[in-house]
Amino acid sequence: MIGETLKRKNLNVEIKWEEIQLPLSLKIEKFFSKPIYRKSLDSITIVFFVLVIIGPIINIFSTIFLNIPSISEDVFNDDLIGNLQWLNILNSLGVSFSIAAIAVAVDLVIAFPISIILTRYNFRGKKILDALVDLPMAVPTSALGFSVLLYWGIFGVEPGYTLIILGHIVFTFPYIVRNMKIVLEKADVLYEDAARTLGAPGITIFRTITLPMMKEGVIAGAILAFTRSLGETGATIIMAGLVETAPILIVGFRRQLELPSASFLAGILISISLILLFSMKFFTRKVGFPVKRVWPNIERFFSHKYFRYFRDALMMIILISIFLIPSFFILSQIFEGDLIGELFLGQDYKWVYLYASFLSSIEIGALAVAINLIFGLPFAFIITKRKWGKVITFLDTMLDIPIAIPSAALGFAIFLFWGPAGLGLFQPGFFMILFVHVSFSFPYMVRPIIGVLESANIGVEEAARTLGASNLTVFRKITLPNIKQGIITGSIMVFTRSLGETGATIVVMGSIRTIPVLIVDWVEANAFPSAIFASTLVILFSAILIFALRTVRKRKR
Amino acid sequence: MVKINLDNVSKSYKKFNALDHISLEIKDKEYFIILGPTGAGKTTLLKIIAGLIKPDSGKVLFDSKDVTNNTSGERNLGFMFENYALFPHMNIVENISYSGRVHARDTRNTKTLVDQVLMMTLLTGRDDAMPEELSGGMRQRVALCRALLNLEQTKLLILDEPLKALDAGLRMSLRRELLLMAKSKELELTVVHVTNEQEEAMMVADRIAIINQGKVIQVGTPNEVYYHPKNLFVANFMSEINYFDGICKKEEIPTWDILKESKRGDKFYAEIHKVSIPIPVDIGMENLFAAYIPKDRIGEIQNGDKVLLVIRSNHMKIRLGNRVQQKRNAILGKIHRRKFMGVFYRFEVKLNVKNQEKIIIVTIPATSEIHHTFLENLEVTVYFPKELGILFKHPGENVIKEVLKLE
Repeated sequence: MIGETLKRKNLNVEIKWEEIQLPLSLKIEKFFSKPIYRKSLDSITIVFFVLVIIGPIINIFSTIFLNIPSISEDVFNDDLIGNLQWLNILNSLGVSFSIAAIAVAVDLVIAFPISIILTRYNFRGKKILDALVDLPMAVPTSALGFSVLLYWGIFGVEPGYTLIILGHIVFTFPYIVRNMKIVLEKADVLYEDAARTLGAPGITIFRTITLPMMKEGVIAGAILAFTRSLGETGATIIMAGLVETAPILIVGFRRQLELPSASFLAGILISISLILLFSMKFFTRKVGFPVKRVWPNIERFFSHKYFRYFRDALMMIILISIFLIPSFFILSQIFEGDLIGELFLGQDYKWVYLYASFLSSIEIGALAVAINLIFGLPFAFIITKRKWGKVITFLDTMLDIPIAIPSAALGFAIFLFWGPAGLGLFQPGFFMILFVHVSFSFPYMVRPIIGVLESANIGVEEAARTLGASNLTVFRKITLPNIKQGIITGSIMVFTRSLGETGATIVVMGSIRTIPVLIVDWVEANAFPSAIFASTLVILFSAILIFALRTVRKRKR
Repeated sequence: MVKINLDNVSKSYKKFNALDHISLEIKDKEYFIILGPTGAGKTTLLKIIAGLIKPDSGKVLFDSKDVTNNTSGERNLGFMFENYALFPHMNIVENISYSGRVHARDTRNTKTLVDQVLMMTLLTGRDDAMPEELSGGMRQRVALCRALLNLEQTKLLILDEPLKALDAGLRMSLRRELLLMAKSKELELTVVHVTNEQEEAMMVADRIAIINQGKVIQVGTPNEVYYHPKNLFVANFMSEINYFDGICKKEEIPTWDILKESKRGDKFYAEIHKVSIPIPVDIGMENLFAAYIPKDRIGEIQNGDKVLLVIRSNHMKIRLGNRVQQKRNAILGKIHRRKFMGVFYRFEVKLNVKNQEKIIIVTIPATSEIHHTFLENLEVTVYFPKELGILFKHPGENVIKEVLKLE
């Protein structure tokens, strides 16, 4: 209009409308910002979530329900062995639970002082210690378990119950320390200072002020560590000897195609984990620590600085001797044995397997990251931005399920649902492994993104919207840069979890091998030098990843 | 009974010097204010007094006893934190009785004490409330009670920006309450109070220490720091100022007789006269200007030195036309802008000094008379009594820019 008016007035102005119009990218974004596209993306995401995470779990329960006769036949009234299978299951559950409980208890005792040292003290080398404590979380548990096996082998600890506990302590510890550190960093030192000026000795401050503020982190960390220990397979196979934990039993059933027994055990494990998860959600709010009673004289006596020095020193020694050195002991073993001869010159072309499995591990990890990113981002947005009331609470709780349930059981549930026995869409192999990895690592992607979304400054987005930017443009230009940290953290978490998973992979792998499975295979086949080499490779690879994660985080501050 | 001495206390965080060789004496039963802008090191100083931070060097003395290595708990002082730091998981009574419990004082005794305190602070009947349920003012009271109940023989109360989180009206009344409490016969507290508000400092302080960038700039009574600021920073921190560049003409001192002027009957003036001496200054007008300088700083400025003549905007006076009798310290100008600020009017007056335009701020209490008389673009004379002119040795343009935050 303006252009025409100008022309009519014989003004020599020519306006090129193309120049004034929005660039193509913005136009596309504006088009796709319509509510309908948002809604359809939301629904696709939710369908994905339900199919991948909730579906298989519901399916396993219905399978158990429908197959009660065959289960009772296989498990309770077998022709040959009677209810031996059931006794086996009971026994494995007992073993798994006692191991998890002991490991978590030991972890907690060490983690309290260590997390305080890592957050409240200042000393040289703190960052390195911090990174070392975090590192085992990124390393495949089978490599860790192998390292632990070799380390305690020096002291004559044979594979078995004790060794499993020692191993589980190592790989669950970072989960507890990490959760404690997060709450400790959030808890204001102000309150501790206030208590100090009021004359409270160190132990009293810790018990009455710090501990209640750490409550949620402690419980969350403990439950997470407990479920990780309960569900761990790779390291446990290596360290178990003749002991059978529940996930090992599932893997065994699956290998022998005793599907009814496997689904029964998987169902039990999943139910117990779900009960644990919900009780955690429920009890974190209810549980209280005794803060009213104070035993002034005893606590003052034990708060003396020599006790503190003693305690810190003792905990550091324990940390180093049962945690740090066992984690990385394997690195010192790399030159033991005939590595070249076994790995490269052997008849069975081990190096080819190593190369292939390393590649498939990385491929699966990268694809899992990509898929989780595609569905995780909208899911995180649904959780934080949509106002659907109870539905959000439900989705939020469901999101924790894959973290809480043993991955071998989850893997088996997915195998049942999508595999030949269920919908028949996938055969065990690459895609099924990928599917399982996507499913158990989904929360690891979504949680960090939710974290940054909740703390992100919404005002900026609204400002951009008032300036006329379409929703998608706001997302690309404002939101995405803001939540980049969460996305990177989530991606690395997903990748390392995928890289390290053994149990779920074994259940669905077919003929493909991933690195952790390969390590288990080689250790079982007594090919120690090759297994050591593979473990070292993975540990170094994970160390680089963790280092990258840390530099990214540091830049954030 | 407590007297605090800080002896050459320094503290640095990595490369940042939070406190730089600070020495202070806080007298017994004194209400001592530590005043300074954000990041000046005030809170660090408080925490060193309280024993929450150990200084890198220097000593902290309570009643001449070295307590540098004593823990905070051993010092038995009351510390009220910014935002109060009430333990969020304990109710009011548990909060207040915390120190009683950790010191194993007689519990029955504590109970009655807590009740008394609650009564005193109008909180009875709410003793099972959690801190988050309380209003800001109530939280402040609870925090104060908790701090007071920790006092034993050391009657030292430390307040870290105690009124910051409250709204303006409440702040006024709580200031008064704090002062009354500190000075009450039963308590007789020594109070160290940190703030960044000069008004608050003026109202409650016996003495004020102004600190900036980790250094003590000036210590004195509110009167001293207001009328005899030690440098431009202090002068500007207390209220809005105007300044003129000038040259000291000390030799032309003759005409003013201090004693004669002090006999005007104005007690206030006389008090200033006892400690200060008038100095003639050439700021480029036809007449010499004059300002007073404290006796102890008289040596600072020599004849012929470049000086800075500072006048607070509320000390400037304004008259229509050139009706001002006194020729000294008066300049003709034009009202450039006028703004009603509620309690007072703020005028920007355009002057001509050394053939350069200069804007001077004048604030005067709002009355209807002013409302009608002083309109924009009118010719006025601004002037100031020489007693209220403040004289500094010229610190250089850069310092002026930095202190006054000019661009």
